[in-house]
Amino acid sequence: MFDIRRLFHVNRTVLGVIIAIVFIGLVTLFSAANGSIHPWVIKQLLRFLLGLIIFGVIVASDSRWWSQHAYSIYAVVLVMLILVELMGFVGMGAQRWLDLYIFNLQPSELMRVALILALARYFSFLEADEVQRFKNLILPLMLICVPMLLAMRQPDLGTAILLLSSGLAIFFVSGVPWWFFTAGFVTVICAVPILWNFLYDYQKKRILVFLNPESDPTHAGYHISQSKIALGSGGFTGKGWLKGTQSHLNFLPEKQTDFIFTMFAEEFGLIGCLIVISLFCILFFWGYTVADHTRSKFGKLVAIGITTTLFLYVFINIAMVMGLLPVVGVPLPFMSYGGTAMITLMLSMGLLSSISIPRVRKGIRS
Amino acid sequence: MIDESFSHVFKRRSFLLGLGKGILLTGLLGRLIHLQIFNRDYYRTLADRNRIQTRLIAPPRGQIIDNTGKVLAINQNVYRCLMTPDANINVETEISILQSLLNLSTEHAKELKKQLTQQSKIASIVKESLTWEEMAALQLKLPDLPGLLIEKSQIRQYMYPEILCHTIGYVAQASQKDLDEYNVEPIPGLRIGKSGLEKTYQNTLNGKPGMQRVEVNARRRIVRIIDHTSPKIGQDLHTTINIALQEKIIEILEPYRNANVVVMDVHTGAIRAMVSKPGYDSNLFVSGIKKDDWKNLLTHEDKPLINKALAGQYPPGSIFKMIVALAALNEGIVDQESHIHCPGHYNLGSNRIHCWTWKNGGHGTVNLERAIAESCDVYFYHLALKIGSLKMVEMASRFELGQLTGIELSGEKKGLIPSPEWAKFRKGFFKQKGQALNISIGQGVVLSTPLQMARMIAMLVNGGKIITPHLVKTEVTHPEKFVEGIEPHWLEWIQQAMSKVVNDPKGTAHRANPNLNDWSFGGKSGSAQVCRITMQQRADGTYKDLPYHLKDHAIFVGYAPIEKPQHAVSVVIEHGVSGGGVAGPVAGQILQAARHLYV
Repeated sequence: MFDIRRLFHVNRTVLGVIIAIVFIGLVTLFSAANGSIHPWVIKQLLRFLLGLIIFGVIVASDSRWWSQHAYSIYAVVLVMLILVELMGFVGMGAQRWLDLYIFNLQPSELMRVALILALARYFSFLEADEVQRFKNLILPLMLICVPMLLAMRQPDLGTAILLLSSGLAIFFVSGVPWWFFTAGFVTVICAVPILWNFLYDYQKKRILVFLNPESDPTHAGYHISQSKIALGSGGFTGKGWLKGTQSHLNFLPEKQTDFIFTMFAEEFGLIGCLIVISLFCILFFWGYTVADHTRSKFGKLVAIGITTTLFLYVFINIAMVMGLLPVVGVPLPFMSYGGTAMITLMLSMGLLSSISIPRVRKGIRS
Repeated sequence: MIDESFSHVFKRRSFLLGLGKGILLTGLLGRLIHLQIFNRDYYRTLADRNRIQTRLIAPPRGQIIDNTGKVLAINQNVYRCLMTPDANINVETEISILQSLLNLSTEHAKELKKQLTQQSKIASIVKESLTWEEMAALQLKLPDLPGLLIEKSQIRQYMYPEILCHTIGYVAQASQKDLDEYNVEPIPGLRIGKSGLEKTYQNTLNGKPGMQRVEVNARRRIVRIIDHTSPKIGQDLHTTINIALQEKIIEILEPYRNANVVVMDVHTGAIRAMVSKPGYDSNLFVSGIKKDDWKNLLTHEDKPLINKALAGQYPPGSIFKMIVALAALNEGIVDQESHIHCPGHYNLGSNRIHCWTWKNGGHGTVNLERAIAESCDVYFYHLALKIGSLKMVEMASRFELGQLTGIELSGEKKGLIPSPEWAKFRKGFFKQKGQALNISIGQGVVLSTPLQMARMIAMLVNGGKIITPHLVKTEVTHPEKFVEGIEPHWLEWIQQAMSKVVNDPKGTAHRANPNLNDWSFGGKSGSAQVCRITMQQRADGTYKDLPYHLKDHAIFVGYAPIEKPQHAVSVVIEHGVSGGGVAGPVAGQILQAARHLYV
């Protein structure tokens, strides 16, 4: 299933864009540590290198293998998620990690890929008229809902939202009829009061604060208002590298993880933000190109799923730090400090690349 | 593998999905531009407000110095901890940590919480004068105490807290009212003079606050100093007080519960010492007086907070006789030789008024000099009826009795010398013979403060020059003014008489005579009646057994040396009974001390 030669067909622009975003992330992490490669830059760099290896391995693999093993992968990750539920340790107030001794693995992150694979696999085997029938949608719905509920229990609202949205995106492009979404939307609206009770207090509080930031400017609303101050005060050109006052004087919370975009925006201004967003747009666009060009139905669905997940990461994170969405704990891809996210993202990019490389080629095993 | 219909749907749907994403991204960009371009200045201001704190630095207060250069009030270096009010700080938990570390009282903790949660702009002082142990404990816990700042500062310290309390007064934490009154910015730990010279010379002593702009981090720790303007130190206050004399007086007054003394330079009116006993510890106020202490001071029956040297109003008693004598001389009804017979009593209509020597059959034939030296009431009753009340009070006013002296301390009382305006509502007051008799011996409505009495005696011995009592050395010299309607030789007669009070065996205060070859003092004794003594009490001598608070006040005004007067003193021993026997010796000791201690 592996073929090293596939590596030569990797889209170099895309790889360059990824490296550029990671580099910007490292530069920002360097500043976040007050001009030091410790504690974040070195570790993040190592993770990226590990990510590159995984990227390479996946590019070298045949995407059909992924199609064949989609359900198994999904099952394994689901078991891991349940394990986290059973024996994962509590850290940062949220139970999200599985201690693998090398690094703390977040199965919920892996699930984002596994779910896309499983759904793509399911829909790729469904005929156009079968998609129209509701009974055929029950299984994929279950595929989404089980890990989503587990993620919510951990509690990891960000992942739950990502799983649901990216799953629904695959439903959408697979041709699931409009009435399904309409019905789903109505159901969700009706279910909100019930779901509300499943949320943890701090999650409720975050949502309430998001809806009315002035209700608690000192505590729960503090992060968001400080983040907005940092962003806004960055202005057009920013305050300069290592010169962000909000971040360096610690007014900005979580500046190396969820709020890294704010940290970056304060120091590099609107220009910097436009560059980063443009780089991400290149990746989105490439994702769509891959989906358009690939001849495999599975590949198309996976490409859309991965691109949508990547987009959602970027959108939710940036919207969150700008106060447009509640703080749900979604990292900024390739920039936020964090192990599993980097690995998962590189894995996703590897999958996209793998799909982008045609199987039938002269000299390459078909 | 891919059917046409799927391909068609997929293309359309993914286009829609992409379109949706595009719209969302455009929204993000719009928001970004809104924040970073249109609201940049707004957020810059907020960011600066986050990180930049402007701190006013309290100026070191000027020192207060006595006339020999000894320091009376200084600033002591202390370490204190402050807490900056901030939304980011959990006041509740921090105060509970501080409470256990610094042993703060529950009351104090409550007050602190109130200050910090009311979002006042200036930092609140948690504790001043930290001990090394407290400092160490705080340093250790500093990471858990965002907003807490330990810094060096100064607090006022009085070197003679009990001895000089009324004169120097004290400083205390500035209230909002004080800030408005003196038009000063609120500074944590800023103290304002609340009484005494500290209050009067607040603006001189205070100096100008400095300013510091500092960059702080989210935990309100100072990261760096952006700029710094040093405070301007307040001016030192050079007083006329002689602390050695003041201390000596406190020593001399040791046996007496309530007493007050003023020592004045007869030529300039410079106050050399001023004592009002009992006093209080002025250092108690500096760091905020405890409620119990304050209550004790307020409710104490001897009223230690009041400076009785200028707020105590006493009937001047016999010391008023010099005024009566001058008024009579001015009217030309007596001279040095005029005689009057004193049988020990005086009959006014059907009332018989006793001279204090009535038991021994009176003073006999007395002239002006003897009348003063032996304090013959009957002599002055005769004069009083001849000249009338009005002439007496006029003379008293010329010696500035019944008027504020203008000393630089607040709380001064006027005393009371009946004026025509005052008598408007008391028809026929100046015509009442009984009133005239009362006034002639300094009783009845007449009241004066010890400070006024000291000035009166000073003006009697300085040639009639009008002087203004003052506590701070001044360069300004007013044109000299003299009491009107006084012949210099009258004053000499009076002085001779006052010398006899002490130096003649028959003088009322001859027991106070130190019997030195090269020095002697003069003066006049007085007793101020607190309550009327009945004939019966006088007859059986039980008036001496009256309860403390009903006994007469012993008064003595004196000057020294006889030949060339330099110092005037007034002594009031409350309920001390005998002016000549009790207050006189005290005055003598004080004048002697002034002779030795002050050059």
